[in-house]
Amino acid sequence: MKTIWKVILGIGGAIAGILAIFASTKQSQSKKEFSRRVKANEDKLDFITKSVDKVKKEKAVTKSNIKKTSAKIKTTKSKVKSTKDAKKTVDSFEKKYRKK
Amino acid sequence: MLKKQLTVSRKNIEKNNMKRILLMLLMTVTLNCYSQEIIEIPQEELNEFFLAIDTLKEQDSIKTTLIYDLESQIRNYEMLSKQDSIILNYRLQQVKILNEQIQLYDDRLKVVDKWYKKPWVGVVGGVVGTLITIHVIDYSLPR
Repeated sequence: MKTIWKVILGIGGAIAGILAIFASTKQSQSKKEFSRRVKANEDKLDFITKSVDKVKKEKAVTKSNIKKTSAKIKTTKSKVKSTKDAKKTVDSFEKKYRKK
Repeated sequence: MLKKQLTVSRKNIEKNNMKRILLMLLMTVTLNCYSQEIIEIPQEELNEFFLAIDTLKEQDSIKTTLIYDLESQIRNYEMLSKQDSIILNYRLQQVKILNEQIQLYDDRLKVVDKWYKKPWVGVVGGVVGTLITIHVIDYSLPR
């Protein structure tokens, strides 16, 4: 009786060992695949972060340009005066002296 | 001889007179045809007119500059909008990748976090396995 148990235990142990090897191989493959995909995503994220930083720098330059141009526009606008009187003078001169 | 000379001289004088008359007639006609009306403008009015022209010229130049600056500002804002769109696109991609990453970790956790992969299960299994082995091979301490 004891011998039968020993044989069963031996066979069970062998099967369990084989299964354990297969399981560990499969697990290792799955882990590798997971690590590969995570790494790929991290690379993509890294690229995106760098690109965003670059665009942000460019955006800062554009904002500074906008500020400069706004100041320039303000100065130019302050120089703008009404031409109503000048136009009136030219019109009256024209009416008076232009031959029809 | 003298008489002949006198006659020639008189003829020449008449000829010259005729020429002069003809010339004067022609000049009168020409002047009548192409006469230019001369208008007198007071100096003050003329000054005002030129001042107005100068003002208009200056304002035209200022407004041309202003238009150029405003166009430049529009281009700047277009660029800013474009850059914002680019950043937004990058952010959307980032969100997508991070969601993917979360999904990957979730899947991994589902595989790794099984009850039979917990340490205490291993300990209990080991103890029970050892006990069974000892029992089966009928191992006993020396008596």
